[in-house]
Amino acid sequence: MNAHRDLPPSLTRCPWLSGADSDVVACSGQTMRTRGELREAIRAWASLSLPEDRDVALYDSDPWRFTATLLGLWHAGRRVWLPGDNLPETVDHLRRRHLILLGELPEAPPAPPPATGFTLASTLSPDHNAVVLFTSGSSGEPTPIFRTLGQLESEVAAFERHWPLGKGVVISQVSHQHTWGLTAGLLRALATSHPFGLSIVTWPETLAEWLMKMPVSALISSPPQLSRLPGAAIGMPDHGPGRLFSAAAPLDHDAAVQAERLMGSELTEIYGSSESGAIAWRRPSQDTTWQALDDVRLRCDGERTLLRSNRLPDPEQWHEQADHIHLLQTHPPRFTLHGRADRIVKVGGKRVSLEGLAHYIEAFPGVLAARCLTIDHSGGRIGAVIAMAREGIARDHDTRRALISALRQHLADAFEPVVLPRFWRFVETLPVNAQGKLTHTMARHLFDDLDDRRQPRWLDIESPTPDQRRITLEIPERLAALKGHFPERPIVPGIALIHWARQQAERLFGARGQWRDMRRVRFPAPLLPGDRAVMTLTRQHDALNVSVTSHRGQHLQLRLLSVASATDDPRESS
Amino acid sequence: MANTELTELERDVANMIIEALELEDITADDIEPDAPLFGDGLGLDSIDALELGLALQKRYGIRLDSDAEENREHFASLRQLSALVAERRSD
Repeated sequence: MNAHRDLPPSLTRCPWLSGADSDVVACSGQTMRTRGELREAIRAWASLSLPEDRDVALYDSDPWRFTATLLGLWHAGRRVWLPGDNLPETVDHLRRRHLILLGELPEAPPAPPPATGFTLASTLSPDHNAVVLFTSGSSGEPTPIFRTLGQLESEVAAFERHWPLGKGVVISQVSHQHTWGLTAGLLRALATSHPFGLSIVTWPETLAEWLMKMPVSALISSPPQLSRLPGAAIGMPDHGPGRLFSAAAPLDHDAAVQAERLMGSELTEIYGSSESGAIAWRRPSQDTTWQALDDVRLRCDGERTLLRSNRLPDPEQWHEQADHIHLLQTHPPRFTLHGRADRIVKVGGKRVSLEGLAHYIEAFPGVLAARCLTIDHSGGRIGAVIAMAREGIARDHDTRRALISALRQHLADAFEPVVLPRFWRFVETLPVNAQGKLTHTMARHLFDDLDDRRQPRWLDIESPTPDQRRITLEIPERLAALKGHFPERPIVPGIALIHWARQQAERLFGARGQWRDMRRVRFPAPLLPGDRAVMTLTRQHDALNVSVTSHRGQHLQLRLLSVASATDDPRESS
Repeated sequence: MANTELTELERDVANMIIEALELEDITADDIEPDAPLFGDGLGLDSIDALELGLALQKRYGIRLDSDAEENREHFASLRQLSALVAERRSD
């Protein structure tokens, strides 16, 4: 069934056309598709007449339909734009470029009828402008990346030289609308005459089932899937995929070890980018350093990383790469990776510009300024710090939910769900350091409650006088002190408020243990989960007055005596 | 708003969702039992779906089906997910 097994992998020789009609070219746990069917579908698309003066855009989540359409369009000499999603903002962008929309894009025509008599060219040119992929630029506006068939082929060929595939299906867990899923998951299978999977296998349970039913030559995956594999309980068969590949974001060591153990296969991680294609590889279960692929050259020029590769527009030129690296050895290049020079991050394998996201938030009514950062919780989700006028900021659970929901709605037109901020912190002014900058560390402190469930969210701090501090706080719904207090109607226990007041006094006035004896303690109104309140600390020469207030009224009134004066005036006891 | 419609199991599953996904601003009472968990409702996404699969296994010893369509149905709402837990729990 694999006529081209002995030839080097190729896209230009169109291996999908040669071989028996009955060869299996794609399958799932249930169905199989043959070369005859694929050829017919390609012919239909290739024969379709489309306006000559416009390019086409294709978004189709179904690998079979996507493959038939893409190959058909290639045979028709077309360049195909591949958007990463089909969100309204993306569709607008494609329309602004006057592209013909195909697949699961609005108003796309149905699949064309069979064109039995139509003859397909048996080879394609390596210079054929095959695809246009998108990457998010630093402004957040997607930037197109152009790839010839030769560039795509060079990547597939490099993979095959380094890790030749054995028998079996190539299963993918990542979308073919992005460069990694396209080349590793789909084109590599087509170029080496291996069957590809008829669907993107998202669930580990489905993966286990497919592995049970058929030999699998490679599993093309990425960290979101690999770091969420359940333990042995899902019944992975003894024979895992021949090879296991991950890319699109760094995979951590533990997840790599776990994935190798569960699947019984070696896991190779590929480092690359949409702009440069595949660059280097490592075994994340064993190495932290990367080794360049055999057709890639790398060097450093001061801070800059320079790269030459057949995947780049001009293989003879040095191109600048956005990531900082540290070269350990030149031949072959080995290096460590030190993050991007710009602020593009990946969440769940999706690239997003933190600046782009923040700018979009700033367009929301009432927002004065916004910053976004990744938070190492819940799989590296994004947190947003948003400055708003006091009137605009939510003051309790319901208004906060409504505000966040409106912000998410606003962002959902332009960003995929996984990159939408999961954690939100609202302040009246962004905290800044002595240079007037909001540093990452300062921004991250606004999310400290995620690391310590005993703490509220500490937000704005004002110093109206040298002896007074006004600290805005919010009660997280998952605050530890709310547990069991009381099950039907949780409120913040008074003792927690007093504890926080002491901690803040020590933090802001730097007098550890000085405030000890309590006087005139009052808890007039309960503080509820989601409430936003202000804690005012006023220092006097022998005492500290504490007050916590919100729109509901006063929640705590307290006078703390300094140790030296604690016994001075017994009449103050309440 | 207190949602009195939640059964004890639904509340338990709702809390599992909130804990597993580290959802802020949402309490069990905010989750309408019949509202969609993904997309427009609670706004969960594909990564959350994988996290929930893991949480179900840890919390209730439940193995999901290999059929993606069926999983989509189980995850349609809190009520559907709770029904799955009631039917298959082995903890």
